[in-house]
Amino acid sequence: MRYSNQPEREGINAQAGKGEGREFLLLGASFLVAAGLLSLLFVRAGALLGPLMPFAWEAALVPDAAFASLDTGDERTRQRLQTLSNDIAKALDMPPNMAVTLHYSKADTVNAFATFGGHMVVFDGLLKKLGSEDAVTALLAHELAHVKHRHVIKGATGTLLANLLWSALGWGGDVAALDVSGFSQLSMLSSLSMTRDMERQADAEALRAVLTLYGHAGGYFALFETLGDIAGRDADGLDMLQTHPDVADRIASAQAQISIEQRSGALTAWP
Amino acid sequence: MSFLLQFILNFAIPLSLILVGFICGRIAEQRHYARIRRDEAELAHVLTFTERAVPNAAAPAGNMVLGAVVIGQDYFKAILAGLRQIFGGNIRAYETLLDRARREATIRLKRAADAQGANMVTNIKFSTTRIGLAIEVVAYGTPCAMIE
Repeated sequence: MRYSNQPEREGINAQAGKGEGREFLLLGASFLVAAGLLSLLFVRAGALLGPLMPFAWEAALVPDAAFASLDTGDERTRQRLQTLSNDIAKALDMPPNMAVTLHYSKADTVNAFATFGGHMVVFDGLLKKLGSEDAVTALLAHELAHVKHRHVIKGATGTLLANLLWSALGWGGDVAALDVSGFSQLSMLSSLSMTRDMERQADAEALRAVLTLYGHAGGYFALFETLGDIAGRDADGLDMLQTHPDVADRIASAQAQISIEQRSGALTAWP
Repeated sequence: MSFLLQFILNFAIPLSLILVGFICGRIAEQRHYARIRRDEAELAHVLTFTERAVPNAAAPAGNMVLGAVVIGQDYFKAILAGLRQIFGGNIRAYETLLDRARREATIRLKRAADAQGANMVTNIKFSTTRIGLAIEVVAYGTPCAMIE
């Protein structure tokens, strides 16, 4: 009896190299689109969930000691800033349980920010450039508005949820082999449009507070002119990659909201 | 460093690894298939059977032959398969990988049988094991000689 083995039939169990490149491009693009949309959704969902945490809990996250390393400036200026903040809080109708703690640093850093639990940090470097109490009020009012609308916790929970999504995708398959820092940057990108909306809301509140306290918005425009000068020196290109809206747009949008008479007035000196 | 530049740098390394995987993986696969076809033709005189008892086969001496191969995936295949695991569907990138491994294992099995003077292997079985990012395929069977 004779036996024989048939030669292996090609193309039944495997098709070598056929359309793999096209398949990769199609799947890769679908993945990026789907993950981008999910990321946006998670950022927004996180922003909805974040403020459910009572403000007191948020305040407990950051103890005063966290700001101990700041190079604290003189007490008189700090007191004046705190008094201004208290007046602004009233003008902004801040809820009574939202206590704002002002930290004043004498460092030359040109910056000011609000963080968790109503803590606000103002650097002397920025105060020096502003030159008027009205502009300082506009700055503080902008930061206080972030506290009032819980922007910090919204941003943090949004980014956290989006990052969890990327990690989950990473655990799910070999896509984890891709650089994780790139993905966390993608979720940051998804949160940028929300951040810009928050800035616009804080701007509108700051404008309202300055008008209530001084009767004109001179300080508001003085603030943005100064910020425009600073930003002009290190502009970073693409609008969609910025956390803050363009300064010229911010000024134009404020101008559209008020009458011509309200746009300027006598400014109170600082310091 | 600007956000955009950082973004590009973060993705440049994995994307270049994917490209290297795609080019090198494809070249390696084509070469491997060419070698497999040549070896299959060369060892066509050693016959393989799934049956345990083949008529006209001499009683086996009781020993075993095996062919084992460990084959790794390239970065491109790994990412492509990862994407498939999200969307579902046929992972064609792994089908060629396993096809090559099975055929290579069979060639090695036949080579082992040939070296013993056997011209047939009966009761052939395959087993597959995953080792890290690579797979091992083992083909084993019983070498016999045909009674003419």
